[in-house]
Amino acid sequence: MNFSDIERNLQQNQHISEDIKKIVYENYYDIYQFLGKRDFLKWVDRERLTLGIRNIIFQTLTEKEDKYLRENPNVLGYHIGPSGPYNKENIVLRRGIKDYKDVNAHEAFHSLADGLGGFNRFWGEGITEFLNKTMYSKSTYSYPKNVEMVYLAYSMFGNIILKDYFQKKGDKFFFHLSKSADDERFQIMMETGERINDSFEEYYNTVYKEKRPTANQFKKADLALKNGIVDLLSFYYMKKQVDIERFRHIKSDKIDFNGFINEQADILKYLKVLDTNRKEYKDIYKQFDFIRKQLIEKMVRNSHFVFNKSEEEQQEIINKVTKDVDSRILSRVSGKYLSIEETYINQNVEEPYRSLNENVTGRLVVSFLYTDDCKDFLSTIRRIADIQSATTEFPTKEIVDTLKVMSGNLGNKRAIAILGNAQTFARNIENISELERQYECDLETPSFKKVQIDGLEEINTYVEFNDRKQFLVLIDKEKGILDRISLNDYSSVSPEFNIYATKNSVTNSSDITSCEIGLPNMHKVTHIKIDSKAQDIEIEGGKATQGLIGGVEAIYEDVLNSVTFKTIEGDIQRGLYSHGMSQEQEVISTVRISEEARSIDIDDFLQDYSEVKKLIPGLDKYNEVFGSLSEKLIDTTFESHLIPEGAPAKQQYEKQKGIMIFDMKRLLCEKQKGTNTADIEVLHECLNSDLDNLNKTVDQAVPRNNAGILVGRGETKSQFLKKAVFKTRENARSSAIRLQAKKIEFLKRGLPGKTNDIGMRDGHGDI
Amino acid sequence: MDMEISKNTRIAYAEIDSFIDLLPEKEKMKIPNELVEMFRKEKDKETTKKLSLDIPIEEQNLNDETWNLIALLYLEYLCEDEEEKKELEKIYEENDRKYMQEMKEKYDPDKIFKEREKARNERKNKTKEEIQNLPILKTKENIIQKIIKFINKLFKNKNGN
Repeated sequence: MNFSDIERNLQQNQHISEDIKKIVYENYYDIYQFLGKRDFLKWVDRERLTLGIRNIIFQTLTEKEDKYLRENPNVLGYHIGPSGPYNKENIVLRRGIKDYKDVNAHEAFHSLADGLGGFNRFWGEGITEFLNKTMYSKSTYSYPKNVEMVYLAYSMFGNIILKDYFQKKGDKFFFHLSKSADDERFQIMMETGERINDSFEEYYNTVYKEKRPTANQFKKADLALKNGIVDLLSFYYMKKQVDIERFRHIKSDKIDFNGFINEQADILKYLKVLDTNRKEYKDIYKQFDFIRKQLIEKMVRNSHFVFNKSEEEQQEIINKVTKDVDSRILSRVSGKYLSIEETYINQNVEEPYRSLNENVTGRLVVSFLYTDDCKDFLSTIRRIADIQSATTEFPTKEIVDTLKVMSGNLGNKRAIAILGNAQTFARNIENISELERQYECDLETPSFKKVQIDGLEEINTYVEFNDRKQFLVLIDKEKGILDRISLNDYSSVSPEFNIYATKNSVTNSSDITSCEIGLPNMHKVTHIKIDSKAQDIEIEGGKATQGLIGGVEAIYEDVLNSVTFKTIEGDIQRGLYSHGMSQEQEVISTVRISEEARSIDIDDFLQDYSEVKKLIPGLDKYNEVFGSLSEKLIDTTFESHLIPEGAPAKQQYEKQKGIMIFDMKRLLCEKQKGTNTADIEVLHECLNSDLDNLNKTVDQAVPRNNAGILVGRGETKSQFLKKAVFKTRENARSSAIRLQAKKIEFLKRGLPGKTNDIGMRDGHGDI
Repeated sequence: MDMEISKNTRIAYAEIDSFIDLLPEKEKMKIPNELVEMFRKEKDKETTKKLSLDIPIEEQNLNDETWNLIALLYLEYLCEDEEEKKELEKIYEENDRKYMQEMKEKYDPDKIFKEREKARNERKNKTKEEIQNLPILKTKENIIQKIIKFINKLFKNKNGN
């Protein structure tokens, strides 16, 4: 990471002392460490730090004694956010404090997070001082209970609390933790989150806002804190359950018991720090004990350990694991161990772990995919993806077998193609549901327009209309990533897609937003003009759909459509349903002599489409994708690009194509109804005549010399095969052929093939 | 048996994948999907070369293993004429025999030993020659050596006297 911009800005400012410069520098470095490169870049961009590097932090640090400091003798310094666009942000320090480094650092963190980073005062002050304490390894610190509570939350949920703070998304903290839960649990978790915030706010208001709190008020504040902890533990329990159901407790083929031991030991440690009155905290320890035992049971029951085990045997395993985990946590907490490894379970050596860890993928697949709660396609896909993440190897054969059990007659080809990359599929589903939840959480009901931007054809792109703001929603269905960038800010960027949007400052109306979208590697800039009132979009170098599409559900459907039908689209492009295309025509020099007409395997195409559609109930409800696939199929077969633009035949072609698509849709409907064979026969005849008409139009429209240029150079496919086989008479040998057959057999059995870069031996002799 | 799938084999899989793509539809359908998928999965991902109908196949510089794979696919799935199949098998057997013969000649132990012996003798003679032809270096005495020599000489003269 290059900090030169920060450095340069610091050098420019002559009014700040070296130690403060160092603090600022360290603050940035810490944020980088906390956020990681990707989020840090995003953060820097959103704050436009590279332009000004938040000059306010360094320029407005002032040392004075104002009214607020006079009235609050315990306060050493404070940070004021900008109250308006022209008001400066400020950090005010008490005059004459000898060691103001800590105060500065604390206030600088506030400044970086725009005050409290979106959290309430309890969390906001706690995290700010937590950072300060961690940074300087301080033994004394302000807001002790707040900081201890941050430690507790940090031990439960990790870095997400700091990420949210720096990204100013503190108000979404509990949302981020709950988002992958099912609807019912999501609601409960969000409500619990609200209660936690309320309890802690109450504590803060009593302890820090009251001038002289009474003993009773302190007692009330302690009770609020205790209630907050109880709710936080319940929230943790629910969150862990969600994680376990998604197999997140299994890492690289093993249940991560050691991670769990670490986490539990940490939680216990911070509970003890918070525990001011053991008697009152008795219930909390009981609750924690209960949660730990329940989680261990859940971890075991939702894992490969239960494969082929009776209830009694399962209970035996749970007892053994609980005993092992508890004893490790105990020795960790009591400090009675020589090395940290002694407090871990070594699953490679210890029993029953060692034997229970054999063939993890197979055990998980059999135990959790062939179950009643996994009957529909989406839940199966999600579960496959979860198992794939938990294990190091997940052979496609397992996926296909699963699918066969699920939907019987589905062909292998489609199954492998679609399910082979279940993780990407599931990521898309998750990304969109997360976006949907975010809208729900923000009480937003946006509408969308699908747009196509030249250069971004592979990405599903939508303009979101949201009150007075517009966003560009980008979904890369291949990589399973989603991002949303504002079109109203002067600059915003999507590091994932390497795309930026810059708003043009001058437009004729306040309803009109004009912006530029810079595409990857800055090769191209697209101009977009959006009329938010009329919800109209003009794109230079792209196009927008006319009508608004529904809510997120429509995006969901659009993305799933393009993912699931991708294989059929590929087959169309490869000409698998087409016959008589120019490459197959017998051509001498520039004249086509074959009379073979172009044709389409319509029934095969329809069957493949229907098979895929069967996978996801509700997919392509209105046969829109079917229409566009049919169009692509006809264009590919008849190579419509050969017809000169503007020629009368082009119009004729388009008209005949429309009729054929209509007939194909009718045939699809009849086939779906499935009984009236006479109607199907009639439609087959119609389609044959459609094909004849198109053949005539294309034959007349395509200039012979053009066809010759495009076609005449190549060999026909059958000649190509004949020549290849003839050449094997010189080059192929029986022992080498047998060796190739053995290798294929070996790979088909799914054994991992080792790559040997030097090994030339195997192509030239027997083994 | 531990079998290694070499880079070369993976390149051949990339070429055969492209080859299958160019087959007439009727022929393509005869090859099991599972096998086609396997070639796709296991092929060398760095090989971007695509076969073309525009260039005669013999000029497309195919990997040796690719020819064997073409032969395998043809015998196993594409060829419907039993006579042709038998004829091809005979040819491939014959090619094998010729290849083995070539290998035997190339790596015949007696021949190798003789050649090595010959090479070693040649090297020996050459080294001898080189030693004989080495230039003689005249070492220059430094001042200390000269003084020592002078003192020795004095002692010799003294003893002699």
